[in-house]
Amino acid sequence: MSSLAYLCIAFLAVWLVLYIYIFILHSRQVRMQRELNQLKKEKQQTAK
Amino acid sequence: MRTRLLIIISAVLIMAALVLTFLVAPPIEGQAESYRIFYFHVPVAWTAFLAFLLTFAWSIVYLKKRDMKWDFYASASAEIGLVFTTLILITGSIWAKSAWGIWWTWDLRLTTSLVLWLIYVGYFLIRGYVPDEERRARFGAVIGIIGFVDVPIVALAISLAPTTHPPPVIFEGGLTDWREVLTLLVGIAAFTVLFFVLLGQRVSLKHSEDTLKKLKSE
Repeated sequence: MSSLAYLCIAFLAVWLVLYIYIFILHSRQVRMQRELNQLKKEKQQTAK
Repeated sequence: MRTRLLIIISAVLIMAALVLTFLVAPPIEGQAESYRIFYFHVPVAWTAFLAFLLTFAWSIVYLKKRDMKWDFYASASAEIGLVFTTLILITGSIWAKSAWGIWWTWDLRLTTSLVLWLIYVGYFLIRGYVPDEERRARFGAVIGIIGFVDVPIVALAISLAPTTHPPPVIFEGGLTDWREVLTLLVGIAAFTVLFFVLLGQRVSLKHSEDTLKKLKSE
């Protein structure tokens, strides 16, 4: 494998790992927000 | 608003670092193109060390004040530090394979870096096994403080023992061309800002978790 290929693989590896981490954080945030909204809605309905 | 500004600054710096690394930084005589891995390997290492330094500081603050907020900041910073340490090991191995023909060698710099990674994996394993919040925070703080001892060892490893790892270049005149210095500095700035963006995301996630817990218990 050429030296340039190693450079590109290293670069892609960095952004792949960071992308996976950011994606995990983001999907947890979305799930949490969805749960929060649902819970708030349920609380409002029981209050009525 | 502040988070959005940080995200924009981070994106601009990352793009600039990308251009500088691949197009502006001059080739080094006698070095293959893979030497450019240096321009993100070093910033990634710097960011991991910064993350563990903050974990260390916030762990001390937690033990003094016993406020869970500091434990959360310490663990969030350790989590991001662990991601960046994983990146040190990955980029280092790829560079080693290209430069030395091997993926790994048990020399002091590489071994202490692996130990650093294992310390923070242990940090999260132990936190995961302790159900009581206070004890978990206390154990975490102790590991966060003791674990940090490995950071200066990793940083100084190349001066402490004979190694195959390249010698330090930043403070010892290794970078002679201004374009090399600029590329490295922009890379460090880009990953540092990214670290704070990630920390902000992690903190906001924690706030959502806390609100959800509170609503469920009501």
